Amino acid sequence: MLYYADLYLTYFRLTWKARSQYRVSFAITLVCSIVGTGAQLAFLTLIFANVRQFEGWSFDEMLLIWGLMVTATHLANSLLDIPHRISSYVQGGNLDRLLVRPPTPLFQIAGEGGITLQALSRVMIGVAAILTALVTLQDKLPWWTVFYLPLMVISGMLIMFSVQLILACLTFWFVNTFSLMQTIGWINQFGQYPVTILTLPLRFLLTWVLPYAMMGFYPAAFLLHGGEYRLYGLLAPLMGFFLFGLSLLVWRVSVRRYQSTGS
Amino acid sequence: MTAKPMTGIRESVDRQIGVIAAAVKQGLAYRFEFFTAILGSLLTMTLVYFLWTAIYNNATSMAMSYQALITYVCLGQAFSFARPGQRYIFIRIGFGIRSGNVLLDLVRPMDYQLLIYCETFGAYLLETLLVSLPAYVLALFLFRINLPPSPEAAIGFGISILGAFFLVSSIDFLIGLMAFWTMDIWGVIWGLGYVKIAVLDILAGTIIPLTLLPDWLQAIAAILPFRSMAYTPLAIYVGEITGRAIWMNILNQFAWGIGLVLLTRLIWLKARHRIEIQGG
Repeated sequence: MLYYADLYLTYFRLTWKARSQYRVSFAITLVCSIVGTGAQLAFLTLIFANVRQFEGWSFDEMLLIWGLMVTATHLANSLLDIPHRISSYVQGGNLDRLLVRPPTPLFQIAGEGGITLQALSRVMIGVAAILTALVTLQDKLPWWTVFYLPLMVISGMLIMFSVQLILACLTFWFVNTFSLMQTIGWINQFGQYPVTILTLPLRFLLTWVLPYAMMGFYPAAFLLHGGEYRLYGLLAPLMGFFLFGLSLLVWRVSVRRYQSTGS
Repeated sequence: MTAKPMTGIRESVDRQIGVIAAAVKQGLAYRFEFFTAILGSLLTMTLVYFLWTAIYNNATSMAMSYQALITYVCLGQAFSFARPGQRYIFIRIGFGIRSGNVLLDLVRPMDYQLLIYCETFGAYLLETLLVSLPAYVLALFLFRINLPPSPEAAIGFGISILGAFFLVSSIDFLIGLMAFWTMDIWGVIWGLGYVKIAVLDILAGTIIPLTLLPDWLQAIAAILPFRSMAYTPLAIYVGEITGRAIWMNILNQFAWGIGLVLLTRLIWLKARHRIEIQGG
C-alpha cells in the first residue's frame, strides 16, 4: 500500500512537470471546461424559463440531480481516467511494458496519464451545484443526507468508471472501440433528468444495464420523495461497489486475451 | 512562404474537386465510425425527444406546437450542425503543427485555407449523406417528425444547411489556427471545441428553439452569427420562418458566411508568419 502511494506520488510529480510546459494552454483549457459546464447549467435554467415544475421537480431538485451526476462523472474522469486510454496501449503494443512491471497495469495507466485537471474543475462546479441545492432544500432533507451524499458520490464515480472499463475491455476483441465507447458514454446525459420522462425499456436500461440513473436521479428521489424510491435509493450506494468488482473481473479475463502487436 | 504558381480558374476548380473527392474516399475508409455516428445521433435524438415532450407537457403555454417542437429538436440532432469538420479540422491543423506535417500542406500548389475548407467540405458531404440523412429518415419513422410543410421550406432548408457549412467551418478553422500560437493541440483546441458546442447548443438553437429563450437572450442571439448555423435551417424546415422571410434569412446567413470567411482569411495571413516547424 505504502509502495503504491509512494509510486503514485512519483508519477504525479512527473506528469505535473510535463504539463507545466504548456502553462498558458493549460489555463485556457481550464476556463474552457468551466464555460462548457456553465452552458449545461444555463440549459437547465432555460428549461425552467418555460415550465414552473418539471415532472414534479423544482429547479433546485433538478440541480441536485445534475450536481450529483456532474460530480461523480468527472471525479471518475479525473482521478480514474483509465478506460479511455486502454485502447491506445493495446493498439500500440505498449501494454507489454506495463505487464512485465510489478505494479498492477490499471494502476500504471492511471499514473502515467496523471490526474485530468479539466475534469477536476468540473467536479468543483458539480460540488457547488450540490451545495447550492442543499441550502434551498435543507428543510426537506433527512439528517443522514450528510452521510448518504458523499457515499453516493463515491458509488457514482465507481459506476461511471466501471461501465467505461467494461466497454474498454471490448478493445481486446475488436480493433477500434473508441467511438463506440464515446457514443455509449453519451447515454450518461440521460441521467441528468428524472428517468420518469422516459419509456419503460429506457428506464430499465438506465437502472439496470447502464445504471446512470443510480448516480443522480434515484439518490435524489430517495432523499426528496422517499417512499416509492426506497429500494433504489438503498441499492444505489451498493451498485458502484458491485460494478467495480465486476469490471475488475472483466478486465482480468480480458487482459489474458491480450496478444502483443509484435512490433 | 512559397510563391504559388498562377493557375487558371479551370485548373483550380479541378484541384478543389480532387481534394474534396479524396476527402470523401478517405472518410469512406472508416465505415464503422459512420455506424456509431448514426447510433449516437439516434441516442441524442431520443434524449431530446423525451426531454422536450416532458417540457411541453409541463408548460402552461408554449410559442410552438408540439409537432413543430419535436421536429425541430430531432432534426437539430440529425443534422449535427455544431460538429461538421470538428474532428477533421482540429486534427488536421493541430496534428500538422505538432508533427511538422503542416509544411507539406504549405508547399502544395493550393492555398492552405482553401485546402482545409475543401477537405472539410468532403467530410461534411459524406457525413450529411451517410449519417444525417439516415438519421433523419429514421427520425421520420421513430419519432414521427414532420415533413417540410412546403416545397419552399424544403428548398430553403437545403440551401441553408449549405450556408451553415461556411459559418461552422470558419469557426472551426479559427479555433484550429490557435495552434499556431499555443503549439498545443489537445488542451486548447479540444477545450475551445467544447466551448463552441456549448455555445452553439444554446445560441445557435441546436437543442432549444431560439423562440423559447427569454426575450433578452433572444435579442442577443439575433445579432450574433450563431443563429444562422442551426436556427435558420431548422426554423425554415418546421415553418417557423415562412414566405419572403426564408430568403431574407438565407441572405443574412450567406452575408455572415462571407464575412467570417474573410475574417478567418485575415487571421490566417497573420498566423502563417508565426509558423515554427518542430522537429522534422
